[in-house]
Amino acid sequence: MTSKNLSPKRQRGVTSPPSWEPSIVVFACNWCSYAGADTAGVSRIQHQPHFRMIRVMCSGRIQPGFVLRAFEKGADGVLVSGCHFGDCHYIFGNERAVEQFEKTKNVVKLLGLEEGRLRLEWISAAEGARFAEVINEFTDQVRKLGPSKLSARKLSAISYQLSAISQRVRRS
Amino acid sequence: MDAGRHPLIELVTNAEVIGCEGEPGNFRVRVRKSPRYVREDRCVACGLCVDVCPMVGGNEFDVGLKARKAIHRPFPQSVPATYVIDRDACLNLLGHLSEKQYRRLEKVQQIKQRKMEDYQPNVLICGHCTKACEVDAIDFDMRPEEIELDVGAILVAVGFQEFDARKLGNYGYGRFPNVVTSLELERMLNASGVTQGHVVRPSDMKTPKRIVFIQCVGARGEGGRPYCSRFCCMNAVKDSMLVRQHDPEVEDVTILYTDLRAFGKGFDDFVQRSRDEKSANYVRGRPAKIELVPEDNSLEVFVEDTLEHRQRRIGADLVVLSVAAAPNDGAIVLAKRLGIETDQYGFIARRDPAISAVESTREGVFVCGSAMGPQVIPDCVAQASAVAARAQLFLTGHRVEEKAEAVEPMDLSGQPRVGVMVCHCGINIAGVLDIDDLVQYAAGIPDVVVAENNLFACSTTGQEELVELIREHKLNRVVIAACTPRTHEPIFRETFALIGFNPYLLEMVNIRDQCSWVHAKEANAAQEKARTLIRMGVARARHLEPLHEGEVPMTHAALVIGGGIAGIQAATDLAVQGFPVTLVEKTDRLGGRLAGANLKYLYPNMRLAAEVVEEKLKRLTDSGARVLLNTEVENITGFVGNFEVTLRASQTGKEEVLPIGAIILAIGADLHDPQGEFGYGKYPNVLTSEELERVFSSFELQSQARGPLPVDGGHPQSAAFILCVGSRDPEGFTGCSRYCCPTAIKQAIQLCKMGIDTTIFYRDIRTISAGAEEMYRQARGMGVLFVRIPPGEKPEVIGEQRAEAVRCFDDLLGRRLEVPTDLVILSVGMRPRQPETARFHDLLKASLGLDGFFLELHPELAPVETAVEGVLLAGTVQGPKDIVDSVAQASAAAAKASVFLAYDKVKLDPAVAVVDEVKCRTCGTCVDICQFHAPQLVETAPGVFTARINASLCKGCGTCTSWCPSGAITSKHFTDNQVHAMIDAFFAEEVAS
Repeated sequence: MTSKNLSPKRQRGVTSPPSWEPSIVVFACNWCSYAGADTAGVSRIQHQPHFRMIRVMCSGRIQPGFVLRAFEKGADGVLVSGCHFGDCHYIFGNERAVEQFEKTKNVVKLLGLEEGRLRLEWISAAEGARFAEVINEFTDQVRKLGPSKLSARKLSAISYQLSAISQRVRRS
Repeated sequence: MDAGRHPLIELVTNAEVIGCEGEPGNFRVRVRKSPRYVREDRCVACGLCVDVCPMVGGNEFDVGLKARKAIHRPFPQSVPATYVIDRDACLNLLGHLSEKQYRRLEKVQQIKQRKMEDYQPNVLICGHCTKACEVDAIDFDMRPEEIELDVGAILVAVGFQEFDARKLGNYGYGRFPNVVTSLELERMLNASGVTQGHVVRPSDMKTPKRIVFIQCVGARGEGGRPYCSRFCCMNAVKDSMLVRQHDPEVEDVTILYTDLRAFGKGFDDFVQRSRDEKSANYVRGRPAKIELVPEDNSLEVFVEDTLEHRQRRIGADLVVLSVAAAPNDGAIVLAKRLGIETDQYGFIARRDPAISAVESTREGVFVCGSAMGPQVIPDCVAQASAVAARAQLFLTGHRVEEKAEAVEPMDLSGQPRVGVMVCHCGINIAGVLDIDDLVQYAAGIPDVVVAENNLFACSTTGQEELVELIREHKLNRVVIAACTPRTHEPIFRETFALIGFNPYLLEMVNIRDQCSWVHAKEANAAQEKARTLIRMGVARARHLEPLHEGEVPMTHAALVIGGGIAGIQAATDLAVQGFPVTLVEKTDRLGGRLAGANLKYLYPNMRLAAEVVEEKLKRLTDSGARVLLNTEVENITGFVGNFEVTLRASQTGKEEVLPIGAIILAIGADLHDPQGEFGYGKYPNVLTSEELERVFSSFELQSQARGPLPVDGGHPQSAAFILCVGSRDPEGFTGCSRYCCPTAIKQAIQLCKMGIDTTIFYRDIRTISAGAEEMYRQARGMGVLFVRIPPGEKPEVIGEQRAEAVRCFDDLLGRRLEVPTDLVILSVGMRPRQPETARFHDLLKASLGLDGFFLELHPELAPVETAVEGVLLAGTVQGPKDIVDSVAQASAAAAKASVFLAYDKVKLDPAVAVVDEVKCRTCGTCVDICQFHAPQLVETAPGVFTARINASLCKGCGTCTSWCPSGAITSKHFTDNQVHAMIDAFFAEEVAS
């Protein structure tokens, strides 16, 4: 990134990726983890680009529905992150987040998804390097697991079956 | 960051005070501003100049462990976020030339300039950065400038510098590569520091297996510094735990200490955890020397273990010196220029710590933090706020004026009309991402009316273009794909507010900090990511709603509960600022423990307590605060700015209701009641420290003559103090009470002066307050005997009718002692005051800590605030403290209260949670879960309840939203719809063809 003409030559437009790469949703709290990702940026700590960040004010806001919807829509992995214990901007929001996370984990297990697809991490605003490390590690882990079984196509098949069943139940 | 953005704070960096005239309230300070050679108003902190700079210097922030360029940012979060050029390293600035050579060069240039009109000075030997900078921010023509500032009060917060461990030759710092200071270790442990959090030996970059920490390097006697540095013990304990957690390879950590001074709130529990987890071996002893083992650069520490009574040689791969805090080199010069005094060590001196913890020797000049002696962070922050309160006295016009001009809000209704602005940020974004492609892509997303790009969206021209775009295309949503919302959202929001565009209809997409900067090597994937992020941003923008800041009027009155020293101080500090203050005291007199015959002298400067109280009360009377004695608080309702407090006079039973804006709680603490312990209550000659103090008072009040001390009808010839009675007790209060060590030593000195032989039984001597360590040395010099109690053991008081002797194992002598004594004094610890603490916990809903004291919002960031806005803590109500610290905390509470009171209205953040009362099933989950007591169950009709969220208490975290089982709560600005839309947009490509 030294100057314009030295930047890596790239293809214009987007071509389909040569091999499968995981899609990862990262939920981050505004005060620690999101800021930690910014710190990684300021320090130019490179990490894998297959995740998309969704910012909320506190990890306590991250409800099971968010994580499940992400999996439903086709996420291969979901990372929930917040402040370290004792650092929460809202005192105990992150402790509530753990409780929610445990619930979510059980549901995700019920859905037949591997445990490795969902992860909880505490990253502080100063831990840019740690953020990059977590992202790399998690991406590798999800990549090893392969595409999620709950891919969109399968899901629609399931929901079709479900609606068929329910219709049958209603009729009888 | 907050300071840099605050409209009322002007930062003058790279500057030095060179003179100060005038009087309090009207100082004229001359400041020399050294050039940074980068224009703050232009620099966008893109970092292009750093990439091309050829010169390297040592990084001061990483204590020289890492290199940095000549043009650099001191550290990643520095404010202002502008680069600075190191004069000595830069090729252009000719730092390598002597002053004489430099002047000659300038002269030659001047002559040439006069002769040739278009002469360009030929000193740009390098100039790489000038060429690289796209915004022309680098300016080598900057010269030092002198500016004059008219100020009302001055605050000195110059901090400390590390003690130079080279001065202690026997530790080999600077000679042996593997001896490092605690600060160097700290930088290594930092995840974004020099070694990304791994501890290594500097000689071979391998992980050390055995680490030895040496405490008190340059403190408590060594290197001529008798004082204690306060923070090093806990720092070493913390670092030893971190090292263990980071690197399992580290096998052995040893901490060589003298006394473990874990005096703060929760510190003792932390040390206990470290002992339980065996993260470090604690060895009491001070090493004589360190020797190098030349084969592998490892070290050998020679130390006498004073508890096991043997010489030891401890092998170490890495030795960490916990270096003491020393006064800043420049502090003495600065003090001279400001006309204030320094103490014997070179720290800034205070006029009288017991009267005010932060006043220097010159009126109107204040000092806080480690500039006046080593401090831990919570105390520094409390002092800083205290200064803010004290300084108000000299400032005029401190009320914040509300801006009257209101802008006609734009009509933003109807179908979403989204405008997307993609920022190049110079080449920060454009160097990696294809901006044209992004713009084109954004334009194809449904509901996007217009997509544009901009070189620097945050620049003045960029913002003007944005405004133009909004007006031209009648946009009602804006998506800016640029940098992080954490720094730039406020900038754009401000602009939007100016034109009447609702600031909450802006969505920022972070394609710089979290995309182009971190995926520079994978341009294709980064491009794809940026596209998705923009798509997600637009999706959220569709669901954004205009929000309006609410307002409630602020009552400018404050209530101080408790008339002890802290309450008096807080009330005075608020009243002198012109706020109506009511001070409520339950008893019939002010002064708490200091008044009456309770306390005689105050350490460290042996002032009469009565004198101090008198001065304080005079200040209180002058301030005009309303004092209500014999009055109790009956009830408190409401929230910040709008409390309603019911007071009741205890004699007449008359009730009074006051409207109050902020409440300061200063109800103090109780002392531990040692009934039944150590023969207290059984033997007449066992007293508590407080009772001894009363004896002192009455004894000298009765007769001016010095004679034998009358206790229990006799005149004791010997006395024994037992410390930590009711503190550091695994079954009771586990914390340290802070005040008892210096108090016992003070009392022991007084007894010694009367010819009474004195022995002190202690666990660790924690003389952490200013001047206390010196007092400890004095006591030792006077022949006071100190006996160390081993952990887990309690001394035994024996005798028939009276206490005759104290029996205890002496940890240092290694044998059991029996010390005959005529008098036993128990230094009792502090306890939360009951039943008041429980009552106010109920009334105010401020939370209590595990130790039973009121819990501060954050130990470092907000030591006097509680989770309930507008309720502040002063003095020992928050935890044990001595008088100096209580007074500082009280002033801090006053300052924080005035932050609320200075405004006419309480602004309410609109991004809060709201309850849909139809959906609410009144389960009360939200009420239980909220730390801020915002949700409450209200009766809407007889027998019908619903939860309602008080917008002035809600902080907008959204935890209740995620917990509400019936989905009745919505977090505004972070609604389920908005988040769902983002998730959906990630996986669904929806491009209008």
